[in-house]
This record gives sequence, structure tokens and C-alpha cells, in this order.
Amino acid sequence: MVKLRLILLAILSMTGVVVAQVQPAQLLGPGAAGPGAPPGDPFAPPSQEPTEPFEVGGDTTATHGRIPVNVVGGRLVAHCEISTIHRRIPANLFIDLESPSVFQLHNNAAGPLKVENEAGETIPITVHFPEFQVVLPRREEGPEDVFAEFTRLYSREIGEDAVVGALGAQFFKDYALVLDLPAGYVHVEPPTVDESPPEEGTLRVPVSTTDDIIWLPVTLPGDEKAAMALGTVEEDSMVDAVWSDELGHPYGDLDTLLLGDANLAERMAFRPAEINFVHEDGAFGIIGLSLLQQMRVAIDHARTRADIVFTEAPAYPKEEAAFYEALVEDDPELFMAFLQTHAEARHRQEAAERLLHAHLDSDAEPELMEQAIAWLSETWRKDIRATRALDLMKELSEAGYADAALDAGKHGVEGGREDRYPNAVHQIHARMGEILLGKEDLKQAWRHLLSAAFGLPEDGMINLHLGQCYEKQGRYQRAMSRYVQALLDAASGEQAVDALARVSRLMGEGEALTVDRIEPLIAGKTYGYSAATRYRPTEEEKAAKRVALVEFFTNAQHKHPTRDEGAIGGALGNEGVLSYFPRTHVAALAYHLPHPQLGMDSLTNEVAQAQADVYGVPPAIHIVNGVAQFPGQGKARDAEQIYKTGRDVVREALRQPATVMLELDATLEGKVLKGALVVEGVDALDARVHLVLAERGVLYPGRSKVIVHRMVARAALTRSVMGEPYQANEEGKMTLTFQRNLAEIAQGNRFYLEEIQGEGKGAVQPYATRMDPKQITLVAFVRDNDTREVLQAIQIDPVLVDAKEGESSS
Amino acid sequence: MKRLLFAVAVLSPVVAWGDSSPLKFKTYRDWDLELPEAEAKPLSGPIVLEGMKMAFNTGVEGTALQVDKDGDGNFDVKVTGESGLVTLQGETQRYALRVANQGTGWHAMPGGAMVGKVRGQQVRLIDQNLNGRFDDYGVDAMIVGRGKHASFLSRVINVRGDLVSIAVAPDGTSVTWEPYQGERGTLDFGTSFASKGKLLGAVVVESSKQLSYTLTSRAMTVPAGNYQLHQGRIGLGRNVVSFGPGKMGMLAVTAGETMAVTLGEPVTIDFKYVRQPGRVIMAPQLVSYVGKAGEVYDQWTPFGGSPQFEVKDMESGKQLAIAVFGGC
Repeated sequence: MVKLRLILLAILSMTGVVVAQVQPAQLLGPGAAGPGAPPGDPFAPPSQEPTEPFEVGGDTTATHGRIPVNVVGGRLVAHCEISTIHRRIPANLFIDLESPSVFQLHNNAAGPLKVENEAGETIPITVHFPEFQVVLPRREEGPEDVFAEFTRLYSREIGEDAVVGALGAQFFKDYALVLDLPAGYVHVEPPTVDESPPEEGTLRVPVSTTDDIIWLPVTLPGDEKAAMALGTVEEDSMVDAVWSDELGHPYGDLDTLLLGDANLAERMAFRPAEINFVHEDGAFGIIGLSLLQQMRVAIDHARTRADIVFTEAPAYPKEEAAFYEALVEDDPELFMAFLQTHAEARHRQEAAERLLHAHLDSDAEPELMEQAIAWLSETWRKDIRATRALDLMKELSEAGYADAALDAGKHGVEGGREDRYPNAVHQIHARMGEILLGKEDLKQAWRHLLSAAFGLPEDGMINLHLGQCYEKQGRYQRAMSRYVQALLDAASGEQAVDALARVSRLMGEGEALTVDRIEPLIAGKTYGYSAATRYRPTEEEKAAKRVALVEFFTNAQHKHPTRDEGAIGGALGNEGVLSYFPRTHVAALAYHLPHPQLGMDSLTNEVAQAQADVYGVPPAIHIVNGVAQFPGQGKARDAEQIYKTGRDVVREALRQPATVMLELDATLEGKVLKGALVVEGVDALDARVHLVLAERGVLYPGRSKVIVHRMVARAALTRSVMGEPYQANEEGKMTLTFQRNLAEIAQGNRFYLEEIQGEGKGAVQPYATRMDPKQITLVAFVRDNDTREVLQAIQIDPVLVDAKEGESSS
Repeated sequence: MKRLLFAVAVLSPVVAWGDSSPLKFKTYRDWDLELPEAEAKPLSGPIVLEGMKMAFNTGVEGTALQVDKDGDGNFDVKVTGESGLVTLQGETQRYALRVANQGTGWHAMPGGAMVGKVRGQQVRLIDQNLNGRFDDYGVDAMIVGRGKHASFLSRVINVRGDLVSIAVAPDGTSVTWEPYQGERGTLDFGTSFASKGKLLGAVVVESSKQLSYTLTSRAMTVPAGNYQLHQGRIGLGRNVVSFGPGKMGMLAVTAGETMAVTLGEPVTIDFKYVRQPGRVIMAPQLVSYVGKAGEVYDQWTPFGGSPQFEVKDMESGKQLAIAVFGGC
């Protein structure tokens, strides 16, 4: 869903707007000091006391106070709790003084807090800090991927509570604000007027604001005036690259950059960058966290002045200047020199990454790659080393550097036990095993893959590769076992199907791989559902002589991102219905449909789409006799409920007397299917006769976790996918004969999928179009086009005729 | 003169020109360049790079993308997850593609650029249509200087204020240039730009599609001609909004004259809604923001607050409802 964004106002300063107006969220605080608040004068000299631990939510009436903050991963982070009338959650928030926003909140937090309803109504949100709380009328949406990635990498440092949002510059706009990062606090204080002169050692400068972003005045070389913003989203302090270049300092290596009489260039190297701000004096740069950690900055509530106390003596970081020079020149030699010279520099990780990238681009010698990888791995924190190595392995593998990827993997394995994500080391082993398998180093590949499978026993690709390893070693029984496990995962299912067939042949078992053979092997490893009882028709139902048609519209990839919910619930309910009713009373068809938000379902075909168009339904519903319905999706544990609902709907349908009679005969000789359908007793003026080829079971592991799909419609055996108009002969019957070749049908379905693929709707898996003659079944039905009611249905299996001997079996 | 020059360039792009310099492919692993046409191309079948005279097979294995990285017909690399960066190895040069699968199949986007210098100024050429050629003027993309907002590949570029005619080798390995001889004027989007944000880049295209420039807050000398805004971006810190031409007309740049355009405020909001019994339905995609020059703003990133809608009784003025767009 597209979102509208508050920055419109901030960027464009709208006027003349029509009815809808953006109303920036208003802080309900700050007010007068509440009991128990505020600690100290915001313009007093910095406290040297160590940071005290806080209990969140101590005073429920104070509206201002201190916010304990930490610099983590280059961001300023505050711990808090967030509540609405519905719920209260612990969380972390970024403090983002560069953002013209009030309060950004991740959808994952906004959902449980129910901050908005479907009608667009909002409820107040309270942010609880240790010393005070603030009530906000509504939230804004934020960069959710940034919040999520930060949480992934730094969850331990932030107390295992996710970063769910950010407090922007507008949150702080009505407060006197003290950034006391050396002491670990941001203070927000009520509006006060303090005309006292600055204390000794305090630098007082005027400030200005644009969209509540705070700017400090600076003087550039040549006495040029400009402004720098206070920023809290980068450790680096940055200067406009083009401007700095024009000043003769392309690397940001300014001699002087005066803030009042303090020369910031003595204590900071500046990173040349694009500065996406405007200021009437010129937006020269942004003061980042590394500089803010050397100073205490107190801004008055009116945003007229800043009192600054430097808490550290100037010490120019030469290593940072060296890095920025390498960065601007993009020179591997300079990065290498930087890494060799500055063992403790803050930018080592970025330098090593850039060096490695340069080596990849120049196809450098393996030794150089190894060195860069070693440098890079040294910069990874111990508790995330395996995770980082895994990311690097992916990058190197995709760049085609298998040996370098193995090297990165070795570094990752060394940190595996300490990694905060215990699966990372198993995934590294999996990748290493896959690479070594490709190199035919079967022994080492097996060793790594077995380690991987130990930690991730249900991972499809690991089992597939382990199976391939066994297969190459001639250990077919073990290979078979691994391939069966691989079959259960959408990522490896297609290859597992082929591999099982291949190993089956290698084992001399002759018989083609069939659903009937696979099902016992996967029993107990997949979801399944069968009705506990069997259908017994009532006299009324017997008299009705009705065969109900259950049409299941689905998509094999339909699954909730994190739960076993989606098509699985519908499929299990469907299995329940089919196990309860014999086919003498219920005929069934499953139509697999494409969907723009789901992955490609390669069981999709023309007849499925045509039947969905008749009803105008999504791929998540059961239709009974064209006029009733029951759910086609749900949680796996919903299976029984869906089955029972469906059972009752079908029984109701079976009580409707039928006048239409259908008689269907078919034989399948080799690939040739032929037969005849006789229809009589149709009164409807606009009835159409449908005859659909289906398979009782199709092996197609999709994301939905449905492995074997039931009653999959494959093709219409009528001239049109919309069926044939009912036209009775003199005897009051319509006879429809048919003869089709299964190979041609499969080919037609492949072409259909390729057309879809050509439209950019996803990659198809052609194997899914193959048909197993032993699974072939036919469903015929008559539908009243006016009412869409299905008047009667029938399902039969064709008689299988041995093409060589002319013998038949059913 | 200009047309004649183009004809010569098309027939013989690297002959009879002044200076020349080599370009080298650079992979952008942390892609941060903004392209004028950033549409992803579906990956189905081989990647055919006409400019490199090579084709690279692709296939899907499970949910992973397989790629033949060296053109020998065999799959060499596999991309798992939702995205990745693949480097193809031609006979003489590399070529990088960003690939992604958001649930609708694998798609590709440029992953690198040919990088070199023209008159000491960095130029980057991006094969925007992924055909392996870097000389598709008006189709491929380019960046002159240190910015990251690309224009379309242009036959005349502005190098530190001077106009230079260029010709790019089809495979992008060299660029040849000479001083531009035609008439010139000035396009100015910046002087009266009315916004609190910074104009990060506005891409304009001349009616022949052979000339294109990225304008920022500074006025720029361009060849005389009729230009059309293609798209632009305004930034405020990490917040960015895109804008398109909307109702903006042609921008006629005449010789020796300045064509100044006032973008930005005042901005008006147009929105449509659907009335149902007891309900008024509004959707974000039915709201448009129109600037002074007729430009239309959309694609607000990263995010922000929703507009607040007030529904009032026309007769009494009574407020019936207040609503915002919720999250998803």
C-alpha cells in the first residue's frame, strides 16, 4: 500500500491546499514540570557522573526529563516503552535530529498497539521514558527495513528489544534540548528564559532552524559563512563534497572550520558527502555523533542559542583523514595503506570492504583477496562474525569467487559458537558444502553438509546437496532418504523430484516415481488431514441423486510469511472433504491460479483461469455446486474446522434433487485418452457441459507447504475451456466424444506458463506440467450459465489400456 | 549543424573526433545511483548483451536464480534469497547486474557503470536497458561529475560549464569528445526553486531524445532546444520525494537566453474519493500533489505521516469524521 508522507509539508511548505490538510502531529507536552522531574539546569556545566541505570516508567506524570541514550552502530538509540489503551511494549527508538518528523513507528509495533483502525481513526500513543512520558496524537511511518536491519545486527547492545521507530527533530522542537552524549543523556526541558551569561569555558553561539533541524553557524576558510546541522544518524561529520572540493579540500581535509572561536577542524576530519539540506547561509555539512561525543550542547527552547562545552581536548584523527582521502580517490592502494597503518581505526571495516570490492572488480590475485577478507573479518564483532561471514560468502559466490567464499566461510566458522544467531554457522557449513560439492571434493563437502544438517535438519537445500553427495558416492539409499526430506521444501522440491526419479532408476527399481510411491515416504513429515468418519447418505440425499461438485481455487505459494497459514488450511480442509465423501457423491477439482503478490504456481493453466473468471474468485476459496462456498485458506490447525464447514455445505448441496444425468466412459491407452460423455435431462436454457482432465495427486512442493496437490485440473477436454453449449438430440441426450494426447496437453500447459513467464510474472517450473497416467481422472459437470449453479457432476478414472498388449486395468 | 553532427556521430562514433579516453567497468555493490528509468527487466531465458556480443544463460533452481557468468552455457553462480549482485565475465570486460525476486520472478537492473574522465571530469555510463551497449543515446544513462543522479545518455554534456560533444564506443570502453559548436542557452531550475528541500536532480530531455541533463540548484548551460522535464528528486536529509512533469509544458531554451522554471510551492493537493452509503473511501494512490510549474510529486521515501482528511457536512459545516491513511 502506498503511503503518504509528512515530509511533503516539510519539503514543500505547502500553501493553498484543498480540503485535506496535513496536520503535523502535536506534542501534548511539554508543560510545567511535574513532580519528580527535572534534573538540573539544562545550561549547567556537564555532569561527570556516570550514567545511572533507569527503570522505565517510574514517574507517570512528568512531561520532561532525561532520556538515557547510547551510540550503537553509528546511531543514537533510546530505550523506552510505548503504549496505547490496548497494549504496552518495550522498545528502542532512534533519535534522529536530521529528520523533519515527530514520531516514526514501525508497522510491526503499530499493529499490536492498534494506533489506527480501518476507518483511519487514530488513538494517542504514549512514549514512556524513565523520568517522564509524552503523549503523541499519532505516528508517522518510517524506514522499516532500516529499523529491522539495525535490530538484526545490534539486538544485544539494545537489550534485545527491537528498534521500532524514531523521534525526529519535530519531537524536540518545543523543548529546551541538551545533547549530553559524553554523559549518555539527552535532556528535554520545559520552555524557560535564561538570560544569564555563559559560564567560563562555555562557547555560546547563535543557532537557526529549518524544519526544526538545528543549525550551528560556521566559518569556512576564506572567512566564508555557512551552517552545519546537528545530526545524530551518522558517526562521521560530513561536509558537502562539491563545496569542499571548490575550497581546495577534496578530501574534507579543512585547515579551519570555526564554530565561534573553536576550530572544529582541529578535532575532526570531515567526510566529503552529498548534503541533502538547504540553509540560507549554505548547508555546508552535518556534525555527526563522533564530534557530538566530544561536546555537550545545550539549545534553548526558542532555538536562538547554543551553549557548548567541549569535554575533550582537540585531537585530530589523522587516520580518518587518510580514510577519506582513500574514499575520494577510490584507490585500492590507499585503502591498503590505511589498513596496514591504522590498526584501530574506526573505518577499518568500510576500508576493508572497499578494498575487497576493488579487488573483485580488478580480478585481483587470490592472495590479495585473502588479505582483504582477513582484514575484513577482523573488524567483525565476535557475536556477529559468522553472520557477517555468511553475508560475504553470498556476495563472493555471486561474484563467482568460490575460493574466496570458502575463505570467508572459514573465518565465519571460527566465530560460529559465539554468534548471536546460532543458525549462521550451519548456513555457512551449508554454503561451504555446496561449493565443495561443485568442486567434486566430496569428502569435505559431506563433512560440511552433515554439520549443516545437524543444525538445520529440515532445510531443503542442505538435504538436497547432501543427497547429491551421497548419490555421487554411490550411497543411493542414503541419497533417497535425503531427497525425500528435500522434497518437502519449496526451495528444493523441484530438484528433489528429479533426483528421486534418478536415484530410483539407479537403484534398479524400474518403476517410475509416482505420487503413490512417494506419499508413504513423506507420511508423517508433512501436514495431512483425513476425516474421522465416512459419509452415509440419508434417504433424502439418496433420493436427490445428486453428485456435488467441489471446486477449490488455490495457489501453491500462498503462505503467510511466518506462519503455516494460507493455502495449507484450505488444502487440508479439502482433503478432509474428499476423504469423507466418496466420489460417487462428490466430484472435485482444484484450480491453481496466478496471483500478482504470490510466487508463480506452475500448476496454473488456461482452464483454471477460465473457471476462476466464471466466478470472479481469488485463489483461496471452495465453491460447491457453483453457488455455495467455504474457506479455501487458513492455518494448518484450522483444517478440521474448514473440513466440517465444507462437509456441511456439501451435504446441503447433496439434498438438492438432480434432474440431469451424466454418463462418462474413458480409456487411456499410452498417452491417448478417449471416451464419451452422455448428458440428459437438462432443462436450463443456457447450460454448458464441461469435461475436465485432472490428476488425483500431483507432487509439487510449494511455499504453502502443500506437497501433494489433489484433483488438479489440467485441461478442458471440450473444444472451449468454457465448455460446450448443451444441445440435446432427438432422444433428449447430448453425446460428447473426445480424444486427446496427454503429451500435447502437457505441452500446451507449458506454453501457457511460458507466456505468463514472458509477461514477467515469475519463473515457471516446467516439471509441474508433467502428468502421471496413473493419476489421471476425469470430471464432467453441467453448469447453468444464468445462475452459475452446477446441475450435476461426475468423476471417473479412465480405464488404463496397456498400449503394447491391449490389456486393460482400472 | 546539430543534426549533422548527430548523423556523423551515429555513422562513425569514434572517428574524426578530438580527444579520447578509456572507460573501465566498475561494479556498484552498494548501489546508490539514481537512474531516470529504473525499471527492472524480467529475467526469462538468456541475458543477451549485444554490446559484448555474448549471451549468458539464466535459470531457476527451486527459488534460486542460476546464472552462467562466463557465457559458456553452464551455470556458475547461484543467487539465493531475495536479491543479489551478479558479475558477468565477457571476453574483455565485466558487467554487473543487480537481481531481485520480490515474489514475481527474478528481475535484473544495472549493477555497474563504465567509468572514465572527459576533460578531467568523471563520467559514468550506465547500460540502462541492459543490452550490453553503452551508446544508446536517450536510452542509457550517464552521470557527469560527482553526483549520483543520472540523466539519459546525451550526445552533448556539460563539463564544468563548457559544452562538449561526445561519442561513446558501443561497448562503452572509450569516449571521444570535442567542443560543442552549436547554439546554447541556459536552463535554471534553482534560482526560484521554492522548497525547503534540496533539488537533488531534475532530468530534462531535449525533444530529439539525444540530449539530456540533470539539473540541480545551479543554472546549467545546455544546447538550445526544446526540453521536457522527465523526472526529478527533492531531498531533505534522508527524506526524498520524486516529481514528474505532470502538466509542465515544453521548456524552450533559445540561444543566449535563460529559461527559468519555478518548481515547488505553492503546492495543491488533488484527491479523489469513492462514496458509498455511510462511507467515504479515500486511497493514497488517488491523491496527487501538484507544484507551481505543474509538476506532480509522488514516491515519498522513506516515509512520513499521512495527510489528515476532514469530512464535513456541506450545509452545517459540521465535522463528520477525521481520518488518516493507516499502515499496511
